[in-house]
Amino acid sequence: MTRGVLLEFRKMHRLRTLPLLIVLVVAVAALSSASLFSRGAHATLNDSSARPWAALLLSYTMIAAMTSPILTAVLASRQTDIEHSGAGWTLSATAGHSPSRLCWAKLAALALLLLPATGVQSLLVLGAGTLAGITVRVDPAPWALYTALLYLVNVAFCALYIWLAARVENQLISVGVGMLGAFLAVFALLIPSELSRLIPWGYYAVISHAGQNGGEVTYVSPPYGWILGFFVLVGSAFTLATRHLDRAER
Amino acid sequence: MNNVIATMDLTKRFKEHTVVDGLDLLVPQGTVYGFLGPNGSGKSTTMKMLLGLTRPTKGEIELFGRPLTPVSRAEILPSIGSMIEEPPGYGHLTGAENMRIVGDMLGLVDRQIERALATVRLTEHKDKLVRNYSLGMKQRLGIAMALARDPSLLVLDEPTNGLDPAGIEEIRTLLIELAGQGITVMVSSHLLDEIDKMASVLGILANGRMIFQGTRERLFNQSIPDLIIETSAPDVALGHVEGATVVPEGIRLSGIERDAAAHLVKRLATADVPIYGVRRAQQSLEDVFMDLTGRGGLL
Ligand SMILES: Nc1ncnc2c1ncn2[C@@H]1O[C@H](COP(=O)(O)OP(=O)(O)O)[C@@H](O)[C@H]1O
Ligand SMILES: [Mg+2]
Repeated sequence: MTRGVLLEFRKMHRLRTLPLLIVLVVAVAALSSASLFSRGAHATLNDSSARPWAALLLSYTMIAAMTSPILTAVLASRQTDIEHSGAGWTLSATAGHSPSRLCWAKLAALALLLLPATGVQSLLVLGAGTLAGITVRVDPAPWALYTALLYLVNVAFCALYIWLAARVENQLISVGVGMLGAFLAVFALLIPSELSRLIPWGYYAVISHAGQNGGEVTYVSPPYGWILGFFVLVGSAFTLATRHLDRAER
Repeated sequence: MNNVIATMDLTKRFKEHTVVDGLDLLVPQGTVYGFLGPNGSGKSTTMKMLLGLTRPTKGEIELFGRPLTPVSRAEILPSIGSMIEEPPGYGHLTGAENMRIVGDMLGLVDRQIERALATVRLTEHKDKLVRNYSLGMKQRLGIAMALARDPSLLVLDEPTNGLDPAGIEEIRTLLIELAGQGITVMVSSHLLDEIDKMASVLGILANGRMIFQGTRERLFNQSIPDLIIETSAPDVALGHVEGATVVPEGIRLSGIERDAAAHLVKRLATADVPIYGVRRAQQSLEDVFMDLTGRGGLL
């Protein structure tokens, strides 16, 4: 398995995965914290009752929901498309690496990249908050939990896009689904959580640790049971679906 | 002689459509086995079954004398180099980087990779992006990928497809050389002249069925070369034999066996047709092939 992951990093060469990731991470951090630097924002930064960190986390959640589905779709699609164009499925199969094993290796490689990327992204947003002059103490738990869950949701969707990109040769499909997902993820932030948890991309909203409560932004606790269920569902679906790829006649 | 590949009643059906129909392949060790057949006759499907890439509907496969099972496949696979349908190669990487990937996949050492690149004469292009390779270079890279593992069996699906005559000649020379080193080579083509001169054993496929398998010599012996009778009076001769065509040196007849030929010559001589010579036409493998597959069946 580790050999397969190493191979995926070799294939990543010149796919511009890393630059793409860096640009997106910086952009998400910048967009999330943009409102902090607006004129009206200054008054709330030192007001602990206004909960400036929770407001920042909500803004971050919104931007992440908007961009992450597209970013993960593009990364997964680029990493998988090369197997179609390079006859890599057959090449690997003749070396004893089945398509499912290839898909798992791709998922592992992208997950390894997304781990520091998501962490750095959250740190950048926190840094921007401090830079903008928030003097209220930050509450680490909701930030850490949200970052961890955002990472896991991203990995879950990477799995979906990898499978889709492997299944359907036309990569407009997997990237298109990613864009649709971004729309649904933002939409899910605006509807009740009971509905969002029924939409796959809704989990970008379901994991939110901040919410609007009668005009006030507060920290909220997401439904961890549902989130866990979502991960289990995606994990088993990916296992079954990629195993199915092994049996497909090419 | 040992057979490296043996199949029994190998059959593949897609839904109702039988694509490979009861093949009994025998590929002797150390030969270049030419696997011929028109487009769509089932060559690629057969090769995919041999490599375990597609499951047969029916029949058995033995490689190196061992039945092909999921367990034996994992052990046999490292000794088979293959290229099926399109040559593999990641376009965004260089030839060398592609070879490195294959090397890591199979746990090869640098020397094996360098030698494979040198064998297909790609060393000087190894740092170019594969995307910018010509078709011939891509085919050669595909062969290098198959060769790097030092295989005992090479399975190449139309490796000469789309190459110019010089490129075909190069691959032909290479495959004969490899067979000389004891590597068994199974190579497919839909064009006879691409495989002629390199294959010592031929398997000819039409509509998924094997219509001939054996040595080149046996193939020639199976079909009767045309009889040419040299004469200055073809019109007179035509009056005495049926189905003859006029050629510059006289008349030409096909499907005439030895006894029939003797009989015919006697008849013409009795009829006072001046006979200057009687000979068999030089037969090309193409003619034999056409006889077997039926005219128009080939692309
Ligand atoms: N996965 C598949 N599903 C259905 N039909 C297939 C599939 N693969 C090949 N075929 C059919 O099998 C026949 C033989 O194909 P193939 O083995 O590629 O022939 P060749 O390599 O000799 O040109 C063709 O008619 C082709 O359409
Ligand atoms: Mg073919």
